[in-house]
Amino acid sequence: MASVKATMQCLGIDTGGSVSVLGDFFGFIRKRVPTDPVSTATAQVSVLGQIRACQGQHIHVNVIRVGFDAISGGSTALDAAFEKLDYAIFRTRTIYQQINLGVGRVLHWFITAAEANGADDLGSEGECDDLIADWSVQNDGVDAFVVRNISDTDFVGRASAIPGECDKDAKDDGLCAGEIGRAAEGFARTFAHELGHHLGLSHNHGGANCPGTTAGCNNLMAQTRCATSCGGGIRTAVLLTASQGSTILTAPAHCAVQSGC
Amino acid sequence: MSLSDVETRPELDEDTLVDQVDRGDPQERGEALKELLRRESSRVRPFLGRIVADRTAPSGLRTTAAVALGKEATPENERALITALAADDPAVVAAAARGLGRIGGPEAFGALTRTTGRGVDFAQTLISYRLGLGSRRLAEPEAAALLDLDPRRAITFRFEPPADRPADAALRRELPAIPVAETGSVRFRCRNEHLWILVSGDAARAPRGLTERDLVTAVVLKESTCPDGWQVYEYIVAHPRKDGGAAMFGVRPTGRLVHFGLLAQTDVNADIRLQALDAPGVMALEFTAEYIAADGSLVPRSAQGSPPSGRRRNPPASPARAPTQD
Repeated sequence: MASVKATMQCLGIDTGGSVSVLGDFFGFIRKRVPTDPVSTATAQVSVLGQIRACQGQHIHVNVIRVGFDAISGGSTALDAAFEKLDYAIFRTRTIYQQINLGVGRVLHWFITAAEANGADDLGSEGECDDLIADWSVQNDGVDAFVVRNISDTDFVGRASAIPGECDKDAKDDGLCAGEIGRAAEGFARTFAHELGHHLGLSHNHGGANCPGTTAGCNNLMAQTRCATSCGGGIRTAVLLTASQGSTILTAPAHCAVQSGC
Repeated sequence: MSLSDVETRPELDEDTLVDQVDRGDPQERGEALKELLRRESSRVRPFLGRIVADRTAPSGLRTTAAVALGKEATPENERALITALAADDPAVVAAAARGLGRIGGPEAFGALTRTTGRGVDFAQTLISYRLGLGSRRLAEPEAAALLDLDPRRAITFRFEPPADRPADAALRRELPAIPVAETGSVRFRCRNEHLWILVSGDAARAPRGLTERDLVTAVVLKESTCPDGWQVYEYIVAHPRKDGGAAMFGVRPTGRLVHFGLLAQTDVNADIRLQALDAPGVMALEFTAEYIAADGSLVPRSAQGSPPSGRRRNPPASPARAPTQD
């Protein structure tokens, strides 16, 4: 079995200085396992499980927070926002484990409200598209933008193309993973859902309809309104099928998918 | 109605949601207002103006109200947004300006003239082209700002046969104050994108074609994958030139200029050629079409896109790396 250090080096994580397993290996910004929003549940991580996940196909994610410096409520509100980010990473890793896709390196980046020039509060899907086009992290991770607010009620997250691109000069090289003002569970599901679009998954239902089966409504790629109307709710509706796994991982794999360490 | 990936909360009735908008914590207030708007509740309309004007309300709540007001062109909504231009929160001013760009008339144009802030200039520009005011015209870019097509990597757009337009209700939400012609639209695909150029009603009715006055000639809609539906991708605006033709500009809803071209009037019809400007994420483009004045239709001749042939002068910026928290 490979060591944590060897796995981190394979993922491209700098192990030269002081290293935090929860912060650098798992990508939790608070260097802690996040609290599960369901009080009777406890979020848990496994170092061995993460090493094994990275030995298989995996993706890297750049979590880019936009305008968090403009969140009102001081350090308490900011800490709550960071906890939601960490929970979304935790959930995304758990959800994609179903199809044997690991979430490897998670790096955190920020754009201040002033730099974002208004894009910290998205008033239209077009503003999301321009945000994705304007900013890129020049590495092999998927750019997932998390904004302070989305004031257009037509969307809670957005993938501008299915699949998204890996050319970091292109306009569809990232996704708007959600707004941090939502409750943690809904935000985490949207984060994973939009990532699914970026990796090539379409909705599992058309137009105004929801899937005709409970299993379909409980799929990650059912829209949230389906998860709450005919599925078991946003916490439950995170299933992925083998077919969806094939779409991402085989013939050919999405360009963001890395070979195993 | 747009088919957004929205969170419905059937467990909460409208009375509860209305109460939460007024009395919840900031997260509850925002989510309750958004839920009411997604339900298209009649209960929410009367107090959108009050929310956007409430200096004590959270910024995100006020911008949400402002965006909603800008989706329906009514005198009440326009007045509420004009009032919001006086807000001390720049995000609220920007949202109000954006909304006025979509729905505002001469009064809004005047109010924007007296306002400074993000999005104000483009809101005036859009109103001016919509109403043919001949003011706030976009400046023609220098030739060096245009991207050159790379022929080796060029992709030819696939034009599709005409099909039913998006439903009127969906169009009105996207284009609350821009009438769209019944005919003359063009649909095409480029890689994994599906786009639709809709000729505006003003262009179709212009007796001397597109060189008569400032106007929104067309709107490009892009099929959105999540949420499902069509969204405004680009406004195509034009104004007359001294040579008898017109300058055409493709502008994103954020006000970013992404395409430019010239329209040359022939005996009856007009030849159009558009190219892309060097902006982050924009691909090089060569688009030519003929505008048939008799029926206001757009007949594409050719369209190709590619990554730019040279180095971009405006590549995407890099965000700053955030350390983990101690």
